[in-house]
Amino acid sequence: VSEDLLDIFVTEAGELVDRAAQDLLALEAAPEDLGAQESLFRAVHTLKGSAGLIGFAAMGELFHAAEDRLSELRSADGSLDRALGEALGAALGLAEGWVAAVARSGALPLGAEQQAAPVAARLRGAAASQSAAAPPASRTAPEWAEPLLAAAAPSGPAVAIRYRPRPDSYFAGVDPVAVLGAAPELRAVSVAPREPFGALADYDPFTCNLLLTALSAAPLAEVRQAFRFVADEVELVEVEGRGEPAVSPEAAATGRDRGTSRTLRVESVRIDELSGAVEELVVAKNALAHLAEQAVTAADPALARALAEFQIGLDRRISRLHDSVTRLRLAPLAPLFRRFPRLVRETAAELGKSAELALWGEDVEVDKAIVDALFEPLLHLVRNAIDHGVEPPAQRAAAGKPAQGALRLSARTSGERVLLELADDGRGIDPGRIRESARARGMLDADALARLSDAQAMELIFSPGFSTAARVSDLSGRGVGLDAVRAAVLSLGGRIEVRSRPGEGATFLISLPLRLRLAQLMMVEAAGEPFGVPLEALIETVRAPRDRLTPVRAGQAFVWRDRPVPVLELSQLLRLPPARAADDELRLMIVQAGDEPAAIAVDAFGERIEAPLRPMTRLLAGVPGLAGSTLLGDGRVLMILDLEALIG
Amino acid sequence: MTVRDDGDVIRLEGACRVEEAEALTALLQAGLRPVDLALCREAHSAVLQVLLAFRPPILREPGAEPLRALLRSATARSIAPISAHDADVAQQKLDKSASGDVKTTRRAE
Repeated sequence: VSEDLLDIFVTEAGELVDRAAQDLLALEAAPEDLGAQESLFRAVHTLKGSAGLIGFAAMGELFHAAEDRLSELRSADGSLDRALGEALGAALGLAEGWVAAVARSGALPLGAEQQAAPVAARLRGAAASQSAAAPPASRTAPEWAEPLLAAAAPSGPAVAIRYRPRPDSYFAGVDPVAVLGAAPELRAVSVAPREPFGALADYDPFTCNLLLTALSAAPLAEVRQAFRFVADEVELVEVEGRGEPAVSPEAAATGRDRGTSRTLRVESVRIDELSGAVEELVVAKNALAHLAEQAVTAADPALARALAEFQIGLDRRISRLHDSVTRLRLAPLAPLFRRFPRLVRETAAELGKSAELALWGEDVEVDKAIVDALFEPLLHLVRNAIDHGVEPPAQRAAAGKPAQGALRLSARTSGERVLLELADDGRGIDPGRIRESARARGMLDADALARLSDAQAMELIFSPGFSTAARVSDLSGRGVGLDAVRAAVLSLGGRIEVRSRPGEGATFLISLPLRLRLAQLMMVEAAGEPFGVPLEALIETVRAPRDRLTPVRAGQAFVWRDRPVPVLELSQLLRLPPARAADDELRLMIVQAGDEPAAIAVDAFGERIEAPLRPMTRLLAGVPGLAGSTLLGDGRVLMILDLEALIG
Repeated sequence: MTVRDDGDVIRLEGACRVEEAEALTALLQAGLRPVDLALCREAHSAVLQVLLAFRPPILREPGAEPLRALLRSATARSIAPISAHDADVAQQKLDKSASGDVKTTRRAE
């Protein structure tokens, strides 16, 4: 088999497995979704074909069995039952592993046939459910939908939506208006209290008391998809406006295919080359700025001015180019996220537990490098949540929780960052147990531990060598702790924290840069070294005579805008020797330190530059106070400070 | 700060998150006042629910759908159809009035 053919197989099969997994997920929420059934059938059919073509018999036979079941399902107009769904999930799980193996070694792993046999048997055993599709929804509109129809007067078929979110929705992190807002093709919406509000003096803002109704012109399957995480709280009724049959599944599928052909597949290496070249261009641009400045003193003023103008124009164009190139690298989180729901179910089952994972914000796009690097840390957090967070069913029942644990993986953007959250509704993290465990491991003495706040104690779980698990389980106790997760997140320029209430579950929050971006930096000098400070961290820079410093206890303060602010030396914060004798002038950066401003003294202020910020990698990733590095116009590496971490 | 107490008026600005329902409740409990939503881009359900419960006079509507339509139905008890055109017009008005506001505040300073 030629290299080329293998490459194509790996790319295509990977995408098909992803798409099939996505369709399977949609079918679990809506078993008679014809569009998803059709799409799943096609993916499985193509997987069978390409495996056969390249001579991977075990894989071909496995997907042949899957195709047979799906084909029966199609001709019987049936709905996907649980047994078949699980067998298909298992088949896709195997295929995912195989495709990875093929990518590494060019062949299916040894023992693939033995792996495939039991799954193929399950597929053959799981006869497609013969239950016919649900009777066609009544076309007479229910009474509650009448006002909606009157307001929107749809011209074709529509779906009336009645959504009664549970009273504890807000605590569960659900925003019903946002859920409704995400539904496709809304034509009318209304909101009312589900129950009267009662005395407003006792109004509880965190108990959800809403009844949302709406009308959508999208097909039922798409509307159902939008509400898949709150399916039991939503009533959907197909209603008729005038004429026009609903879009057939075939037409929907072709629409999808047309959509994919608009994209161009480019090897990521080429994009990397391109963005590398653009970053060098940015560096060269900074060097030009430097020359333009020198020209002011050395050359003809008219020439210097022309040069400066030219440089500004170039500056703007290069920024735009850099922006477009970084956008090229953005990829949705969906393929990454969709690997997890099945994994959660299987992992929970292995541990004799039951858990479901809900996904939010899969369409958020981040730098491809970040998407790729997130799988391991997220996998670890997910396993950790099931292993240590979610209780066994009996324990959950005793605590008054549903037997099935609920996990939620969500992503949203906030400015130039993406915030990922993994929440579970398990037993939560007990700060008392953390303290005990830390003492037992000799990480801190009793006094130090007693001084830690609960939140600080919880942060200890990210320390190397920390594990509260009494036993080492197969899953998360592989000697890789949460410290590895934190290191991975830090190396991506991110941060991780945990919040938890005992008994109510835990939430891990990861904040990451959306892309490797151009940072606005101010150069400063301390201990004879240049450093970059992100401009957004600065409130102001101040020059003042040194005698304006006032000694305050052990330190010094500076009166800034009528209030004293503490003064810190940058060289001391960085544990570097002061470079030269203090002169008479103070150069202070006023920055925000928690709630209060603080002043950081430096030896000199330099120019302002714009440069690509590279997150710290490897060894330096753990050094506190460094946000990243960048390459200067003259080739030197500039360390960029994270002032918040430095003074925190 | 997206829930702002401006004395006679309460202003909601930008994206109002779930925790801001509490601040808004406290302000409305202290005295029912008109609420200005012109600069409100998004509101969490809990925030919308406070408006539904207290039904304060709405000074200016938000530009973003479906928030605007929901708010109309919440305060007027009528159902508003969503139209993309309406939303655009509202957004333009909003942009104009927003820039107008900035000027007034500056003059006031």
